[in-house]
Amino acid sequence: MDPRAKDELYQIRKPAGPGAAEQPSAEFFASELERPAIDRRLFMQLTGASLTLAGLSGCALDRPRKILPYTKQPAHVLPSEATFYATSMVIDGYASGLLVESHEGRPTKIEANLAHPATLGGTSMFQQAAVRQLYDDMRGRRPRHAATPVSWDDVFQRLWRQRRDDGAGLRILLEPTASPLLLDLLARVRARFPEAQFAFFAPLDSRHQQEASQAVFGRPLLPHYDFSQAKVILSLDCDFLCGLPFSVRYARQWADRRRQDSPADDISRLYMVESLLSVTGSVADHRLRRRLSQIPQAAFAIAAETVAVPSVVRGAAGRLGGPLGGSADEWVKQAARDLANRPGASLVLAGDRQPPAVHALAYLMNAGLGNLGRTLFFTEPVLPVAGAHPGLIPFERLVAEMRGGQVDTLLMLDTNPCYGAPADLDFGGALARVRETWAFSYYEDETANRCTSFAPTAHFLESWGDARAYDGTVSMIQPLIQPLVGAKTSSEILAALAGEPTPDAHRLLHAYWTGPGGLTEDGWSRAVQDGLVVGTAAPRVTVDPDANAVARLLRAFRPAARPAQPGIELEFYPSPTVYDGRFANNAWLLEQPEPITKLTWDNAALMSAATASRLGVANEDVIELRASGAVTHAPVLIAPGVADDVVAVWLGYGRSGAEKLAAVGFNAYPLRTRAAPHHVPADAVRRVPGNHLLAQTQIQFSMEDRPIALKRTLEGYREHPDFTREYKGPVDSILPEVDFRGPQWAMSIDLGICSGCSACMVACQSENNLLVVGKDNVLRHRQMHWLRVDTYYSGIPDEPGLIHQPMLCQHCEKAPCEYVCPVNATVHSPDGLNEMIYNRCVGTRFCSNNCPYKVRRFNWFDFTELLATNRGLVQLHYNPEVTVRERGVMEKCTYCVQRIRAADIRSRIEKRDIQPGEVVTACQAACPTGAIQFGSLTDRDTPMVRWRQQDRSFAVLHDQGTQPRTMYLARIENPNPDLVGYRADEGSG
Amino acid sequence: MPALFPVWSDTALRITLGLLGLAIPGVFVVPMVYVRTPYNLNRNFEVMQPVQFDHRHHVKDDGIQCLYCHDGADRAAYAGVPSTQVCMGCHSQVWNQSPMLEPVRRSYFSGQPIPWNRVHLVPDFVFFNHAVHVKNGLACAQCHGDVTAMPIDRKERLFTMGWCLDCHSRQPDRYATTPALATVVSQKLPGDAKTPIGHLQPIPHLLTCTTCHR
Repeated sequence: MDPRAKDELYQIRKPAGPGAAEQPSAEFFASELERPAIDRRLFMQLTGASLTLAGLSGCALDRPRKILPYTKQPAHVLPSEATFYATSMVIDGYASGLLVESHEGRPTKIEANLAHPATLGGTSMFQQAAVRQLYDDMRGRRPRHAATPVSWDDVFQRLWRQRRDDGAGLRILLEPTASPLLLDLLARVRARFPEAQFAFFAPLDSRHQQEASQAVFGRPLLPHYDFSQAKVILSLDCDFLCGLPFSVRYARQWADRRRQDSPADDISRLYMVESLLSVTGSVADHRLRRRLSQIPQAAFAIAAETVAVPSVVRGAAGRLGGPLGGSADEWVKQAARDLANRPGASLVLAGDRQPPAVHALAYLMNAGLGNLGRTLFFTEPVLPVAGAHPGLIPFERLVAEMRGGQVDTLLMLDTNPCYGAPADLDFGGALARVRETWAFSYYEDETANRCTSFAPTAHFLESWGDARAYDGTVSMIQPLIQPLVGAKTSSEILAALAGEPTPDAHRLLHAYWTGPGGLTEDGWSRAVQDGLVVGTAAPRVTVDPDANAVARLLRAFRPAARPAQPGIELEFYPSPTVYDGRFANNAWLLEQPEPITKLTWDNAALMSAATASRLGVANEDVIELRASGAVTHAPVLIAPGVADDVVAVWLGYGRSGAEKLAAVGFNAYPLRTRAAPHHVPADAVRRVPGNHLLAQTQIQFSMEDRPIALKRTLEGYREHPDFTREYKGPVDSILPEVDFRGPQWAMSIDLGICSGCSACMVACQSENNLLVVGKDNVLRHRQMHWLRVDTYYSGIPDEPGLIHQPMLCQHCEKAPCEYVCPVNATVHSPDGLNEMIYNRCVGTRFCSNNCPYKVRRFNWFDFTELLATNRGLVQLHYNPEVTVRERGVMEKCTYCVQRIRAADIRSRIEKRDIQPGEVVTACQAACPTGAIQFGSLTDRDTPMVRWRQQDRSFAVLHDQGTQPRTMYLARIENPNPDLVGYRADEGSG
Repeated sequence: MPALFPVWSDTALRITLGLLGLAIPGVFVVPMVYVRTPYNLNRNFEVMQPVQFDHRHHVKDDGIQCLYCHDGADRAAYAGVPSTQVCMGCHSQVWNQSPMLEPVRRSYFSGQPIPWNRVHLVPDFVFFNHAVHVKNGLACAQCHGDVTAMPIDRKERLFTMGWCLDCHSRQPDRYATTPALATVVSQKLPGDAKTPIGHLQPIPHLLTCTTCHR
């Protein structure tokens, strides 16, 4: 390992900034900040003129302002009071329950629906950002045939007309769906056109799990996990904390088993085998770094070591596994032993990218370890399976039929195959053979551009509909607002095709659910109000894996050959921030730092330092990636923890549709084929001239041995439970005592269960009207996030120890910002808040300079005026309880003071005290693992207070004497004491 | 040699200097006085409305209470301006042919709101909540003046920060009545006739900036 690599990775990178190097001209924001050069004379003239004209601002005409009340006030709307409605968001066919805040008919903020099985109280980044997607100015506006605008009536008329061929040439392509209504409508379409067929398409859909289950159980079954029972977890490339439909639920369960109240508590242990460092990998106790193509080998080796696995399989696995070399063999042995030590309380899970043999093996290991029915159980699949559902054909067959000229009309609903389909299928070419093609989608995307007709579909916050959660629970979708651009839902489009010339989504849904065998009228109302139909989860099925079938799968398994020259494996991952590309026009998510690398506004070719030095490239160099006959250019980003000889890329960027923000980054889909959808040996990787600036929100990843985010191993903690003693407690101060009265607001954050997923950041953005600043300003470190998640690496870069630390205003009792403000714009409240008063701030930035935590953000520009992406429809999302800050004003986390004051007002109206748990901050509400607790110090029996009384609590930069109200709990790691080669550095903090 | 200046030039100089001496502070003083005039502050100026709505008539002659129309005042941040539907609740029956009410009928049937002119304005950076004030016994008239005596609405009090703090920092119960009576329009204002209530204390909490600025 090159010792310089650590410096490059962890320490401050070169001061990047526009002007430091040539900016590619295609950048969306490149020209926004450019100002003409000003000479001294012009400067003086402008200054003088500004000063003179400033006086004129006092001469504004005082026209009376208008009040426009409702003409007919809707029931349940009380102006200025928020209302909450339950609805559901669907990603790749699986629903999550949400509770959406609405102000006078505008949805403004998304929270979790606590009654829904997918949440258990948290939300993901995507769900938090859905509001931004709704108010997107670039969404598709009106239906068109070719370039001619048409009306929806015309669209419905065309869909509704009779066909002469019984639908033999009619095909429908949609996102995978388990919606009872949509499946019923598809059946009705087929009743009218018996020969019509439909297919599902999602770019990241993997059938490996299904195939494994088919082979092992004889039928496709869906695995469910219960992490609250799992004491030892082995994840084979499965990012279960962030990347699964039920991740939010799993994250909460995992955290419950991981959180400690005292040093004596046992916590679970997580083993992870993966290639690119994921959120789950970043909190693993032991992480084995392997290329995607090598992970099966590691899995086989572990299975071969597991006595509980039937010998026929162990033999086959042993032959395939073989010695891994280096310390990996010991790793494998110890992981297998640890799993075996916890029968019935361990869990082995495999990720979608792994071949069916690995999934099958995972099932068999769980069965042998007695986990079936405890930490792992199965249900019938929730999504319809091709072959088992009438009229459903595989996507590949649809493309073949299109190419063969058997299709004359193709309807595509909320799917973008021209962008995301495997390159070798040549979906675009097949599409050209179809006479009449319809794209019904949210944006006029790549697919819409190639279709003969386009019509916009509605956002879920504008739709009536239903869906099923991952466990089968029927989830209701109800609209919060009328469609902003006259869009229609998939159900209305299918109903027109099924013979209803004037469909209406609400009527369709109501008629379906209150129809024969459905709900009563009361039941329907309750389902809509609750957002789900209770008791509709799929029942568990008892299964017994067939060991011989697994052995057959193993014998048929052909390990991937080591990539030929240049010996680089290209790996494809969904983007942690824009997923498969569907969120790529969401400015919040584009500016959201990726949880591990903190990269914004781009994707990059991620590689280890060793790979980079072998290729002779450095950060921000541009490389050419060549594979499967395609080529793309990508900027290099050296990232810790990536397997060697791997170039990992995020999918979802480089879009070329009408949604222009999404054009950032490069498109990696053309490199992906049916045969190799997850990893492929690169034909060539070489440096090309040029340089591409990458905007990271964190540039210093090392704590430089300072005690900022503390961690210990479980053993170390039990030996010295008081290891944080010097980082808390009273300190002498020359500052005057503050007269604290009333509730005392404070926050406790458990670093032990923070996974770094960053859902809190988007929640904060949504709640507090934070503006997007654009890539140029991120490069100048002018991002406005009030809450950031700092990630610190330690140890050697290839096997880094990680710790995530949400960093927000600490609300110091002795706040350094307060005594330097010349105008008293930041002051302390008697209930312990460090208040920021925007209308008093004159923008000296002295406070920010004096803040040791660097959590204050300055409005360098009027970002609404500066960036088009902050204007237009998006202004409808503003939370009316929070001031929109103007240029020249400092801002920072307020502990969601608007929520505190709202509770204060409620309690004063009702003549009572504020109840424990009544005030929940936006970040706390969003956190999937429940790592953030907020409340009053006077409510002694709350988790927030109990947490900070634990041994491992500490204050960041305690030696500064700031007495922060935000306290952290040190991260406790649980490495296997027997596993030599564990290299996380003990106690370096 | 004759004198260069006539005799009165000394007088002229003295007057000029005197005027200058007045003018220089006057540049500062006059605007300071001006911005405080009722004319500049629109204080007690009657604001014309698209419909000639008479609070005096509706309250005194008809006995309609405040909350009948401003129904958010005791349960929301905004007191609320009534929807046209509320007007039409009565005026579809009484005075339903009156030409004065033509804009109301037009609004009701066209769905276009009546564009009322604002009388009282709180700046955007102030988050005022009606409910908590009303529920703690502050009478409507304490801030809005005696609208029951106004044929045309006008601003009687200036909503300055100092005026808010007058109550928040000093003696809230000097201004407050019992909550049950707060919105009853016939209630005599407490003012000098101080009624001991005891549920309001000058709590520092209510003085902190984020009470109003968030």
